[in-house]
Amino acid sequence: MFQSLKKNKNANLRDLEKKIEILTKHLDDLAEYTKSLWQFLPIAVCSVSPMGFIYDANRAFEGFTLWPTSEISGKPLHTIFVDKEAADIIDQTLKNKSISNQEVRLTAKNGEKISVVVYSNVREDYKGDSIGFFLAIIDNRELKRSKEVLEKRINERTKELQEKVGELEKFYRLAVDRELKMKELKEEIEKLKAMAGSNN
Amino acid sequence: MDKILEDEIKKIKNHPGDTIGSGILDDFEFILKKEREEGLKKLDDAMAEVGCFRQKDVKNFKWYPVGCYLTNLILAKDIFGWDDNVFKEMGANAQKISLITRTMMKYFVSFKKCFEITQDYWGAFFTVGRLEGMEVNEKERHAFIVLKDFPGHPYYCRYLEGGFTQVVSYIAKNSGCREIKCSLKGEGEDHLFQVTWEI
Repeated sequence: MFQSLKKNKNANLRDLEKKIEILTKHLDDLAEYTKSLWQFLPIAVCSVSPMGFIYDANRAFEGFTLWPTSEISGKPLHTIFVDKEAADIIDQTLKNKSISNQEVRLTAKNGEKISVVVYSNVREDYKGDSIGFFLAIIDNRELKRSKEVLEKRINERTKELQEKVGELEKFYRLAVDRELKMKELKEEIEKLKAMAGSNN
Repeated sequence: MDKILEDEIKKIKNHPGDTIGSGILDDFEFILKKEREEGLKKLDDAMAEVGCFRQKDVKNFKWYPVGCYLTNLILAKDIFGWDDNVFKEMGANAQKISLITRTMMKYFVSFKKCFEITQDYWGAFFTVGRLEGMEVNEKERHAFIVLKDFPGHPYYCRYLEGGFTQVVSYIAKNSGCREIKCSLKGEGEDHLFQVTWEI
């Protein structure tokens, strides 16, 4: 009987060991997948603590801000944004759970000021308590430049059109005046003809 | 390998307990950044020579002897001539890139929560030793952490100073950590660390 119990126990242990090995493999794969995805993301992303300290950043963040993860990790968010804007991002995210398309100015490690738009999304634990948030940062400069060029072009075209309209209005007035004058002259001619006819 | 180093490694390999592969891989990443591929290969070969794991064999969620993990630090010191600051840097780096730390970050939201989970946090990395947060004084901005039942190695004490500094930096600015009592120096049975910070 004891032999049979021992055999069952061993079989259970082997079964458990096999399950643990499978789960360990899944965890390894998941870890690799997560790491690859984080590093692949072409948009600058960082994770921030509820107190506003940067935990972690991806490769795109490093390239864009010039801050290596090894240096920015543990630094407050106002390292890359001015105090007021950083505080705003943190407060609004924690209050509203996310922010979207908010325009701010980022300061890269070399001091360069860059116009960006930010998106954030809060992270919560199973109890619903905030444990920080993800922040995505998108370079807004090209869009802003294109917008400025487009606005400039629109203004120039509007001015051109206004000038053209002015010219047309002038021509119209001339044409109308001419027509009125011709009508006047015709009426006078008819009057004079009538007068000439009555004299005869 | 000289006799003193050999004896030191022989002794440390008897250290009890296991550590998780993820932590070892984080340290290999640091060594790769610091000493490049050639340096990492030298260390890897030296580890194999003393009967410890090779980098390519380490998996994130498998367990490896603490003795071999500490041997890695001893060999790094011997090969690269690192000083204490590099070990602190290594410890801090581990807390920046660790996969396990990322899953535990939900606790780095306040000092209270952080110090409550110190044992769980330690237990995610080691099967031996107890890490306890004691006496958190938010007014005076310091706290004490004690590591019990884990002899370790002096290089690892520096490593922990860097690691604790990094963890506290996610909650407050200008964090620091210093070991104020070391069991390896005969200053008691445990390792006692003091962490400090500013608001």
